[in-house]
Parts: sequence; C-alpha cells; structure tokens
Amino acid sequence: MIADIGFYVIAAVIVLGALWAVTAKNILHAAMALITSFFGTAILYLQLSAEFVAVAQVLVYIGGVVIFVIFTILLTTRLGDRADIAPGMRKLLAFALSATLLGTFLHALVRSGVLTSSKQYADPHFASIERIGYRFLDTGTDGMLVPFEIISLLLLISVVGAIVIARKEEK
Amino acid sequence: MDKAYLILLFPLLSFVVNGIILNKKPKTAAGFSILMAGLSLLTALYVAFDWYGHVAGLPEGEAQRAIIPWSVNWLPLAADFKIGLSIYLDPISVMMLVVVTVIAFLVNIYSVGYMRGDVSFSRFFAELSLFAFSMLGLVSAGNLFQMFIFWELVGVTSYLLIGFWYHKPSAVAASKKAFIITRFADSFFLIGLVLISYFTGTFEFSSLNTLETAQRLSQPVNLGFATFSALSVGTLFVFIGGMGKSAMFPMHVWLPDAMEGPTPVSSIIHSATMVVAGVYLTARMFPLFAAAHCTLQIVEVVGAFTAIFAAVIACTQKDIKRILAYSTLSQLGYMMFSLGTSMLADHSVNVLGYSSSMFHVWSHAFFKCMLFLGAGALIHAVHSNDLDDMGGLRKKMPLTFISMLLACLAIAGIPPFSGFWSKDEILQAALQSHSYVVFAVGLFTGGLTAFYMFRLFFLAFFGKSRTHHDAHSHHEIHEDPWMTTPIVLLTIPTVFAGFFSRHIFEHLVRPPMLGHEGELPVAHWLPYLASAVAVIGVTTAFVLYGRAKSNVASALDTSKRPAWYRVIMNKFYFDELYLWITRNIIFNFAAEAMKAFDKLIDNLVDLSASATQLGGRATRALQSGLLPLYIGVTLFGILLVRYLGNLPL
Amino acid sequence: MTLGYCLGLAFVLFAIGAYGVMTRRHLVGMLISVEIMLNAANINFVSFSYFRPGDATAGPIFTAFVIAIAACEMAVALAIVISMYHRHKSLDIDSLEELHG
Repeated sequence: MIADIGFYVIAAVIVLGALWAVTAKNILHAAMALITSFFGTAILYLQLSAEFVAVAQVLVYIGGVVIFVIFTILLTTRLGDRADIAPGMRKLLAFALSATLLGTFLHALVRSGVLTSSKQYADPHFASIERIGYRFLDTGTDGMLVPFEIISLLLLISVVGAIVIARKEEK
Repeated sequence: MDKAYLILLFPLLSFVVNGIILNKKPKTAAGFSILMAGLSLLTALYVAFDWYGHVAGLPEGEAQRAIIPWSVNWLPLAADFKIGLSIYLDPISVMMLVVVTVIAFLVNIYSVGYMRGDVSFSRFFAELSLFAFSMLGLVSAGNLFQMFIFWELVGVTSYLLIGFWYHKPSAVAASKKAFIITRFADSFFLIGLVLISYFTGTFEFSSLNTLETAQRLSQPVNLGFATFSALSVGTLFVFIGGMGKSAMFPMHVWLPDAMEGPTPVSSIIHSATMVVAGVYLTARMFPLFAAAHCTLQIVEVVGAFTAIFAAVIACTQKDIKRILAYSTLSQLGYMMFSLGTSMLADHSVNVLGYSSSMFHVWSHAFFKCMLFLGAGALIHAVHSNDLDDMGGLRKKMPLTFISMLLACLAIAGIPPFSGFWSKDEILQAALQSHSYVVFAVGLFTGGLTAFYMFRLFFLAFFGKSRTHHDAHSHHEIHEDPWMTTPIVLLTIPTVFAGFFSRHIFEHLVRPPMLGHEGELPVAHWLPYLASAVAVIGVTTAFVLYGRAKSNVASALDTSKRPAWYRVIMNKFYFDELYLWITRNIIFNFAAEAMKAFDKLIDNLVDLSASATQLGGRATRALQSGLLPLYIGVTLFGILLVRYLGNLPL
Repeated sequence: MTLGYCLGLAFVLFAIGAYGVMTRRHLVGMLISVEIMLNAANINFVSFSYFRPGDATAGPIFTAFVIAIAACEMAVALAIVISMYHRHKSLDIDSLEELHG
C-alpha cells in the first residue's frame, strides 16, 4: 500500500515533468523539467530494485546528457528567446496521433491482463551489481563482453564524431 | 518416295544460298539456281515414276488413296487436335509436282537470257527459287493448315516478284494490288478453314475428305440470328479464298496488272502454277465441296462467267502480256467450271469433270508457259510490250515463230495439239452434266480464244514491221539462245502432252468420291463441233489481221472505236469501280474510325502522363524536409500497420 | 504496483515524447522529447526484468546499453545542433528545410 502510494507519486512526478518538458515555451525550462522527470525515473528504478540502473541514470543521463543539452542551449540560444510551439493544426494532428498510439498500447495492455497480475517474484538481490558485472565480462554464450567492448568503441567514435561535426570550419 | 521432301528442299536451299551468299556473283547465282531446279525436277520425276509404279496395278478407287511418305507431328495442341506437316502424294499432287518442277527449271534457264544485265539479277533467282519452294509445298501439303501456310508464302513471293522492279511505281502498285486482293480472299479462306477444323477437329485431307466428316459438318448450326451448315459456309468461304488466288470474277483485277513483273515471273506464276492454286484447292477439297449443296454450282457459275468475261476483254487488248493474262483468266475459268460440272443433279459424280479439269491444268501449264516465254522473247527483242511496236517478226525470230504457232494452235483447241484434248473433255463433261448454258458459254469462249490468240499471232509475226529500228539500230532483233531453248523444249509437251496423257488422266486422275459415279453418255460429235468453232475463230483472225491486204493499221488504231468497244477495252471499268469503292467508302469509313481511335489512344497516353505527374506532386509533399512531418508520418505508418495489418495484438 | 501499471506509465511517457517530437519547433526541444521516449523504453525494460522470471540480469544490462547509446547519440546530435546554429543562426525546425524534395 505504501509502496503503491509511492509508486503513484513517483509516476506523477515523471509524467508531469515530461509534460512540462514538451510544452515549455522556454527551452531551458524544458531542460529543467526533464531533469525532474529523470530524477523521478531514478527513484522508480530504485523501487524496482534496479540500483545499478538508477545510479547510471543519474550519473550518465542527468549528469551527462542533460547537462550537455543545457550547455548547448546556453551556447546557441539567447536566454530570452521564446521557442514557439507549433501551429494549431500540427498540434492537433500530433495530439491525435499520439493519443491513438497511447490508446493502442493501453488497449493491448488491458487485453493482456498484466494489470492485475502479481508483483515481484524473486529475491531482491537477483540482479545485484555483482552479477551484472560478471555478466558484462562473461565470454560465454550469454555473456555481454562483446557488446560491452563495442559500446566503448561507440563512445569513442561518437566523441570524435561530435568534435568533428561541431568544429568551426576553417576558412 | 520417302525422300519426296527433297523436291521442296532443293529450291529452298537455292533461295537461302542465293539470297544470302551469292548476291554479288550473278553467274554463280543463276547456275546454282538452275542446278537446284534441275535436281528438284529429277527428284520429282523419280517420285512420280515410283508412285506410278506403286499405283498402276491397283484397282480404281484404291489408286486415288493418298500416300503419305513423310510426316511429322508439328503442333500437338491438344489430345485430340494436332497439326502436322506431311507430304501428300495422290494423282493430282504428283501431277502438280511434275508440272511445277518442269516449268521452274525451264523458267530458270530462260531467266538467264531475259534478265541479263539486270542490276538485281541474283535477287531474281533467289525469289524465283523461293516461289518454287512455296508452290511445291502448296501442292504437296497434307493438311489444310500446311496448305494455308504455303498459300500465303506463294502470295508473298508473288508480291515480291511482281514488284521486282521496285523503282517503277506501276510495278509497286501492281504488286500491292495483287497482294491485297489475294489477302482479302485469304481472309475468307482462313475463316472457312477455321470453321471446318472447328467442327471436325482436324486439318488433314485424308480425314476431311470422308463421308463421316461431310455428315458431321452438314449438321446445321444455329447462331440465333441465322442457321447455317458448316459444310456449306466453310466450303464456300474456302472457295472464295481460291477465287482470289485464281483471279475469278470479281477478284480478277489483279492478274492483268501483275504483268508488270518480268515475263519469266508472269510465265511461271501467273500462268502455269500459282493461279491454278485455287483450282487445285477446289480439287483437293472436292468431296466436301460435292457434299455441300450449292458450292459446286457456285464454282460452276463463277468459272463460266470468268471464262467468257475475260475472253471478251482479251479481244480488244493491245499489250501482248495483257492479252495472255486475260487468256489465262479465261482458261482458269474453264478449269473451275469443269470442276463445277462434276456433280449431277442426283448427287452422283461426273468423274470426267474432275479429270478434265486437272488435265487442262496440266496441258495449259505447258502451252501457256511457252506463250509467255515467247512473248517475253518478243518483248526482249523489240523492247516494248505493245502490239503497235511489233510486226513481221517471223523472219527475224524463226524459232520463236514456230513455237508460238504451235502454242497458239494448242490453246485454240485445234487437234491434235494438247489443248484440244483437254478442252474437248471439259465441254464433254459440261454436256454430260446437262449444264447446257455452261456448255454453250464454253463453246463460244473456245471460239473467242482461238480468235484473240491468232489475232495476237498475226499482228506480231506477220505484216510489215512496225518496230522502231532507228532507236535501237545498234541492237538487231535476235533470238537469245538462253530464251529460245526453253521455248523450243516446251513445244514437246505442247504438242504431245494431250495425246499421250489423256489415258492416264481418264483412268488415274479421279476424285475421291463420297457418292457413286454416274453412268454418262459420250457425245461423239462434240470434238468435231469444237474443232470447227476453233477453226472459225482462227480464220476470222486470219481474215482480219493475217492476210497481206489486211488493214492492220486501222485494226490497231483504237481511237475511233464505238462506245461498246471502248467499254470492253477498258475492262468494263471494274478497276475504276473498285478504286472508287476503296477511296470513297473504305477510306472514308476507315479514316473516321482511325481518327477516333487515334484520339482515344492519345488521350489515354496523356492521361497516364498526367496521372504520373499528379502522383509525383502528391508524393513530393511528403518530402518537405520538415522533420516533424516525417516523424508523424512514421508514427502514422506504425498505427496503420497495427490496425490494417494482422499484427497479433 | 503491478507490471501493468509500470508498463502503462511507460506507454504514457512514450506518447508524451511522441507528441513532443512532432510539436516542438526548437531543435533541442525535439531532442528532449526523444530523450523522454528513450526513458520510457528503459522503464519498460526494467519493469519487465523486475516482474517476470527469466534472465534477471538482462534487464539492467540492456538498460545500461540504452543509456550509453543515448549518450552517444545525444553527443552527436548536439554537435550537429551546434554546427547548424553556426550555419543558419537559428534552430527553428521549420526553417531548416534543406532536405526539401
């Protein structure tokens, strides 16, 4: 029960943050709302016993990505700029589309019956950091070593790529 | 006999080789062509003797059964419907094989002299060989379909050869006319062919010419708006096809114009072989024609009318090739109506009509070919087709003179030359079948034939020379040995073919019959009557044109003739009539329809173009470069897949 | 808190993110919306791993991958944003129509 209330509160935080992020006229406000939403998500992860993911979310997502977004905003927009939202027709269409999308998902959700199925099933330490670590470095059939290494490569490439793209061209 | 297909292959080989390879070497082309024609002739003679040896001892009725030495199953279209190719040997096909190969061989030799110096010398021999192949294929065809193929091939080669000098507009026009008219008739042939084969399921002559087939075909077919019997309509349409090819009235107008081609062409195609294809077809399909109620009667009437019609016109013409063309028309009419008289009122068969028709085909081929070759020699000598430019040639061209004399005697029907025997039997058959009108027409036409042939003869060979010597003083009138030899060789059959082959024809060349043969009296006074009429004709011509004091100049002067004469001379204005019909009726109707159709097609094309443009413009809106639009469309697509696809959800 | 509720949350977030992507005119705004959608996917992964038996560590691992890749993507995307700002001096999506066909 308490967990349920907690869940509802956190869910509300996440959703409201997201809503504010997509409708804020000032882009910096949108970024701030995003941070709120992500924090809420992190807490949700903790509730779902995914500690590693929660920490990764805060460190990487909020501390890296959103900060980067804010930097970009500060570098490219004058602070007083108002980012206009789209014309009415587009808003209507977008709303219709996303509402239909949501409706489809929820319809499927209701039909599949997971709304009433039971709660967690196993012991809380089933996905401990230790086991995740082992899995990351595992070389067997279920191991994630290769994707792990490739991710590191990808990070390198994207860093280089970002620098190359954002560099001012020499005249 | 089983190598009979070689008869066709030799000229085909000649065509291929001449057409492709030897275009640059005229002498070799001619030599090769003559060699192939000779080989074909020898093979044909060998096959003929072999066949004769085979059937000579057989009882009547058996001998007419066809022998098929070679056949191949070409198109097995359905379990019970196949089209094959085969060589069909029966009395008339063997006869025609011999005729065609002999004449082809002689004409090949003749052409060396006639076409000397012509720019397209080799092409001529190639096309001539192709014609020989096609005609041989036609006469040896074992089923209607195969015959139709060769029928069309013969038409094509005729077109090629008539228009051989394609730089001459008159030649081109004539070749088109011939092709179009025969093609028009061939469409009827095709319909008849399809009709017959649809109801009988076969094309083979050996299966068609049977009683069961005739019975099956004569069941009436109800089309809702008309009932007809497939037999009557089918045979009638097939006959119309034959009418076109054999230039029966009213489709006769192409044959005189076909004289635009070189004379060897006229002699082989338009006198001896191709034009008898219609007669041959009728003879080949004789049992079915006989079983149909009225087809043979129509054959008779058409043939008789053509005979007298053409003969009348021939009396007024001045171009010797035209005279000979009309003469051919007239003789073809004889052959046709003779076939027509083979059926008596009580449905018994008068065999004489059939065999005399074929006999006339045989003898006519030789003397008509010789007449044309001789005319060609005359034309070659004086460089003109017109009688106005000839005269007194008997001293300059003696061999031609004597040969032409014999040929004219033959065609006039003077005994004992070949024409007499065949014509006499035709008249006999007409009399026996109680077709008195036709008999009278035939008799009268015989007289006319004698008259106009000797008119030609006297005007060309006798009298004062009217040739223009001064213009060609360097070129004396002479006889070219290449041309004269075939002419002289042809005198042999001209004189003797009748006398010696008539027994064979009477006993061997009989139709395959569905009914029984009638018992018919023979009128013994008929030969005398016929000869008398012929002699009258010859004498009249002699009086008018042959005597020393004949007023030849005024005979040739056609400017002051009375109106009826001029009508005849202008061939009864049929050409003009047809031209008027074509221009005003066909072209007008067709032009309007074509214009409407063209507009329709144009609009359709425009429509497709604008539809594509419209589609392009609509699709371009999707590529607006607006990112949100792209995303929206993607999402929309996903939703579409969900709701319209069959995702499991 | 059942699986259904968590998934429902994820769906709602996804729809919000989709709406934002189509609606936002500012380029960075669109990127933020994309982030929201990615976040929704992550929630999906983690809730499945929590509520369903099976491969327990796969959920967090994949989520970690997604986060890492999202970081790379944002790096490159924001680099592009910066370079576009240098060229056009504006980040209004409606005026960046260079792919117009």
